[in-house]
Amino acid sequence: MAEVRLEHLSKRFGATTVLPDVTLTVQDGEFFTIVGPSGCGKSTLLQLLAGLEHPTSGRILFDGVDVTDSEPRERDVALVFQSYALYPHMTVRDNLSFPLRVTKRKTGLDRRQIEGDVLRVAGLLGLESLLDRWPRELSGGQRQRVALGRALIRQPRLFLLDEPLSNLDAQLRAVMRTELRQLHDRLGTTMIYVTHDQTEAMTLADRVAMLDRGVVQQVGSPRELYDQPSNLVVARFFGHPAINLLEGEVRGGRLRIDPLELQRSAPADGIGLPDGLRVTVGIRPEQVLVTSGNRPFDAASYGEEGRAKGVVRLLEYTGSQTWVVVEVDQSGKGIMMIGLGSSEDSLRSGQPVSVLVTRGPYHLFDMKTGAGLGIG
Amino acid sequence: MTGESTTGTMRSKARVRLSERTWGYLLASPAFLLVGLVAVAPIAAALWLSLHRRLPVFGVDEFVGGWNYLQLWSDDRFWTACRTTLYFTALSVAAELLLGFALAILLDYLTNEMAGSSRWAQVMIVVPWAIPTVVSAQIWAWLYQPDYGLLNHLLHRAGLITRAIDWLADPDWAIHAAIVMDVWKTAPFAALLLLAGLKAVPRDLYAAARVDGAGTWQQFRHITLPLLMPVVVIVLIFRTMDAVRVFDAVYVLTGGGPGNSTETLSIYAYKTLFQTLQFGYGSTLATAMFLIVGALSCLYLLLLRRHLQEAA
Amino acid sequence: MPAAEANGRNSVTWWLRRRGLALCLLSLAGLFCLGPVLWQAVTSIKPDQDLVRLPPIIPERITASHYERVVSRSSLVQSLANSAVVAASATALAVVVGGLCAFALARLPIAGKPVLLGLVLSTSMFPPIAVISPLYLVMRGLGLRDTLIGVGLTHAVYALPLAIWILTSFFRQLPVELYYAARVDGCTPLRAMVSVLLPLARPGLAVSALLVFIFSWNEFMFALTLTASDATRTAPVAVAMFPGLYEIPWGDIAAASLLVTLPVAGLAALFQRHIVAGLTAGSVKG
Repeated sequence: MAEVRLEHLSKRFGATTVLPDVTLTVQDGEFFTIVGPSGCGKSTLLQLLAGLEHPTSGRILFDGVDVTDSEPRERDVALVFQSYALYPHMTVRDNLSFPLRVTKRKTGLDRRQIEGDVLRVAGLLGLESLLDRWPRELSGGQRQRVALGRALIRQPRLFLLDEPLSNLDAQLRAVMRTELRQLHDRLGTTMIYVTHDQTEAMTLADRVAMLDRGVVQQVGSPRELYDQPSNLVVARFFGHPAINLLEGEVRGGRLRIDPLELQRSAPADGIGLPDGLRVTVGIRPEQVLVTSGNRPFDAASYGEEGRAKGVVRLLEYTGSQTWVVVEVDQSGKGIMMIGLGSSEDSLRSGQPVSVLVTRGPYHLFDMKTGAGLGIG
Repeated sequence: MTGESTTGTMRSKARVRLSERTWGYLLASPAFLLVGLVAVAPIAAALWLSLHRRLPVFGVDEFVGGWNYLQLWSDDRFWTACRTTLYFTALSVAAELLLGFALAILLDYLTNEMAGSSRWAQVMIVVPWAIPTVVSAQIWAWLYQPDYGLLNHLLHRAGLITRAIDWLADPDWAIHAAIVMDVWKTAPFAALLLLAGLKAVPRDLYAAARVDGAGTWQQFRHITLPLLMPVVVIVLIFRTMDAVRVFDAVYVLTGGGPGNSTETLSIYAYKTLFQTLQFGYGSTLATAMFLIVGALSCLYLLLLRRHLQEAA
Repeated sequence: MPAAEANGRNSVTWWLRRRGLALCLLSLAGLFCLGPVLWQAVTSIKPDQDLVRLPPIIPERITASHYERVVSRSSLVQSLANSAVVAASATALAVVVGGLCAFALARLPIAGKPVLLGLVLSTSMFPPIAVISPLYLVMRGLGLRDTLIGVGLTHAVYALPLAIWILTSFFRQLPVELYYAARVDGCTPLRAMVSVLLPLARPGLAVSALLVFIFSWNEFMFALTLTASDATRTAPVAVAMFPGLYEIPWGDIAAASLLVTLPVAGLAALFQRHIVAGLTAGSVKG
């Protein structure tokens, strides 16, 4: 169990700065995910936490104790790799017991105790029947479990997981996600989980940190990151389909959004934005409804606030719903919006439609910097 | 139990904590120590000696600076040895590369078409490479033997010669005899490297080229050759380095004779060092060789840089 | 249909011809590679009086007298034993020391790796001739002149660049995560190398051991200058200095040559595949 604190941590490799200045606190017992596109520095961050790399400057504290210069073996952390990194020349049993065997001198465990621990962990993960197999004889999911087991067996104070599920197929990934979360709840150990997959980040975590180009963009609960993205990068990264981004302007104390005909204007004056300010407006696809024909405004049943006319360009059928990509701009600028297809309609590509923006937040961002300006 | 674990912790506390970097230097140091003692120190000593005139027999040992190097300039025997060495190198490396290429292509073909035979072919090709150079010199000395050597006998029977040729005693033939032996011994090495290079060429590329309408020659010219260039450069550098420094092959075969017709730089240096005991000048000769080797390697890299970059 | 048939027949003959040509070239290559060795084998079993007449090429009578003479009346057996000791100890030393160094170069954060590697490799570029006299002095200073240890040590050091080169590339091929995993699991770098990386780099160890062994077994110049007596002379030196009182004892030399060659040629043929892997380590794949 550990609280992890990073203070002004930076890491440079030669001339390239991977992490300019990271400050973060992970609470004791938390399931914390670090999410970001590939190359954002999240794996480096994990290696710094594990002690495999040393920071250029800054400090790392576990429970208030400075471990910045400690060796990996002194930190009492476990690391699960994307590639599992099972030792190919050892059986599952030997893989599991390896962390205990190499620290035998320090911990004073004997063979019987080690064997007992192996059986305990194997039982926990359902690996009992595989103990004498070689890693090459295991399926991807089984390898994943062995990798987890090797991390669990030492009962470390901190788990680090580096994209542990991304080599599994989609179904297995969903199963393992649930198991992982349950495992965390049972053990109560702090887990830091790195991924590029927003779904994993959102579903697993107590709190999420979004990392982009080495900079922490926002830290908060999954809901906070989704509902109140602090900037354009965060807003873009979360949500599938991705958020609709439109150009807008504050005029006469009111928000105007380029292709949209707003019925109830957003209270731009309410959040104190200066007149004439150009903004980027983010609208989540689930706030957008696409219907056929020219039906009248019906604010009552749809909570409609704005509308635009457009032509269907693409249909994405997901089973429970249909996402519709609509070209909403007639001036030929090719502005696209994506929204939910109305369940009553069967839409076709090329069909003229109405795009209704239902009630819900408009996320406003500074057009130049992308900084969040609040919710309209 | 408790006692044991306390000693355990005590020991781990007493153990010096080493950073990864320190471990690195620690683990690398034995190698560098040995190389330093047995290789670098003697090399430095040789460079130092090359600036001296040292004749232990006459008790002469004086620092002469670059004088030895100036003397090289007017030393005809040095220039002859240079010519001999470069002639030997050029001919043998070129022949090795060509023959190696032919063997590699043959072996590559065999692996694709007749997998069974290629294994044996590779075994047989590795034998000349593995034989001690001294032994191969003896083998060829026997083949070259003028009166009852196999070579003269076969040539005579084929009607190519009428009188026995004393290959190793004829100044014109001797150097070529040495070259043939060297090619025999080292062409397989080139072939093995080139074969590995050929196998590393993705088969898809050939398929793609065939679809694009390339014939066998065009495939070779535009795919095989460019992709093989790095291996060719490596073979060239390795073989040139060895050929310029050639010693035991020629020394055992001809001893540098007849006359000085097969005296390579190594042999000249060896004789200067150990027969006339001129340690200073001998070291100068050796250093000059080192410079020649280095210059040739740089030249290759420079000339073939374009090809290397293309492949990369 | 008939066109296809004709085409098929054509391609069969074409295939046969191509295959025949390949086999022809193969036997030619075989003759070139093995012929001289075979002739040496033939020579080694010919009686002395038959050695000085040709034809016949295929001997009519055979004898083991050359082998008997070489084994019983020369110091060849002693020098074979010397060679075995020298090559084995050089191999052990080069692989252990080279392995540690290669691991450090491949995985540990040492400053100036390219410089260090370049330095090691450039020592192998220096003409061995040049270092012989200083090396002789070094060995004499260490009290290792005319000892097997001296020769073995020299061979080990001059084979080190090769061993380091091969092993570094083998260590680099292993996924870095395995090393990381071992470190996080509680290993020191040395323990991680011994418990995890070494077992996985076994092919690389075998290859470098093989190449060092062959190098040491075959090396002539250092062995020639650092040894001075039958007790320390290695096999190649013995073959080069084969005693001949009045004329060259070709039959005995042939027998001795084959005896000296057999161990290395056998090893090379047996592990031919690994040798190729070792020679091309890093050079073909980059």
